[in-house]
Amino acid sequence: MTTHLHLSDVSLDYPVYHQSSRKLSRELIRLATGGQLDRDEQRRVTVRALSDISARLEVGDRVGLVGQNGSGKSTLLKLLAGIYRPTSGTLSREGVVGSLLDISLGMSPDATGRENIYLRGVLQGLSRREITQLVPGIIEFSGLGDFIELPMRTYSSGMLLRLAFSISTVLSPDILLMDEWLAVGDAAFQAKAEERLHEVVSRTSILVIASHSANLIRSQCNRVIYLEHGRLIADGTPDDVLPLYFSSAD
Amino acid sequence: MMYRRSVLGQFWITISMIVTFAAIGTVFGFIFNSPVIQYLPYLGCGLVFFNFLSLLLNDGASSFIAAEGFIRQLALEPIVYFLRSVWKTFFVLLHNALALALLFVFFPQGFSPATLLVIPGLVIAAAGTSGLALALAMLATRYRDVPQIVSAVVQVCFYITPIVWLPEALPVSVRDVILTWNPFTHLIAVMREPLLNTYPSLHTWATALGLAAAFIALGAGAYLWRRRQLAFWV
Repeated sequence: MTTHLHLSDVSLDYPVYHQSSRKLSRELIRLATGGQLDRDEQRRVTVRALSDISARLEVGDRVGLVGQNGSGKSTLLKLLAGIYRPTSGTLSREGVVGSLLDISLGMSPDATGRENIYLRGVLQGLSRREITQLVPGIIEFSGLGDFIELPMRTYSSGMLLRLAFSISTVLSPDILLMDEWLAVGDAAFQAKAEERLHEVVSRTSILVIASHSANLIRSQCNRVIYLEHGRLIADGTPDDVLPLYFSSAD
Repeated sequence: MMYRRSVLGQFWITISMIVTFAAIGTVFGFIFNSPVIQYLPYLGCGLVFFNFLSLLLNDGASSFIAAEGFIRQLALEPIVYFLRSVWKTFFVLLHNALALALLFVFFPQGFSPATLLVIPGLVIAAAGTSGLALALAMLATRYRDVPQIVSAVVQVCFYITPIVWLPEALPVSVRDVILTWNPFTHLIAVMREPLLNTYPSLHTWATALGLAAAFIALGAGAYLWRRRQLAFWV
């Protein structure tokens, strides 16, 4: 099977557990009162985050997701990553998915930079041996030098992100998911990071990136999906779809 | 990771267990007027194994809640976060076992084939309790009051399980009720009695096995039924 992401009529309801519906006592009271008193609590609040989305993403697609805050872009990314399952409809996914959604997840401030390379690497699905081979390259790229042997709590936030970036971008997934373009570090590092990110992006078969920047989408994407209130409003080339979104934003 | 920057590191676990042996051993040894050579090993095994089971339940029940950030960001099968908690608890047991080993050096209980039965006992008790902990972890992620309930119930169980006190100290009528209906009694018995060089009765084995099977079924069932919901619950 070739790499693809096919969504047909995908909807996703997000249950909201506000403070009171989370409490077991509510459920017990409901049982005890035969459901009379707490009728409002019984109706579980759900938010329809995505509604009847159909799209077929194939090899070579560079998809930009646009839409206002809360339009379902991040939820769609998480659905594509396999974190959420559709409430209805089907999602067919073929290929290794990598995401640059939260690049510092799983790193521990008490561990040294070197140890954190292993912690992050394992989360990215690498084996210990694979990581060991990658370690010199990662340290080199991060430019942390001897700091790599110190606990991460001694790092500045810029250093931390440089390390996280260096580790996260060693992978080459078939499908790459991003929430905005990553820009980390000082001017010198940014140039290097930009280059590295372009490499990763060019290696993947399918890119899906959520962004608010028209420039970024024009430079990186050949297809744009426009979401509003969880519905797919438009799906087409950047030239066709971007004016639609940016005119609605005015 | 928790013990970074402390000199004795994880051996604080061992040390605090030894101190507990000494403190409870002295006070209750006098109260029950039982010879130290018998009472201390009984107490030591009970404390270490109860500590093990209670940590499995308490830490296990909060394992998905603690891994919230991971569950929301990674498409890993969530059970790995639970197994991580079980693994951690097992290491705590190893440190406490060191304290127990030290106790046995001073108060040897002898060694016989019966002693080896501690291994199946441990497997049964650990697997069964993990099953229950998994079911509780699912429930706790959905209903956030559950971890507090678990910790309160486990705390009570410590007092109604023969760990510090000897079953013989209770009147028969009370004893039967407490010992029969408390799962901890059986799960601890299959681990403790072999170490004290006695064979657990067939009835004890059967009860422990039955409990373990039921708990595992409960945990596996709850997990398979609702694991897709976990990303929404955390």
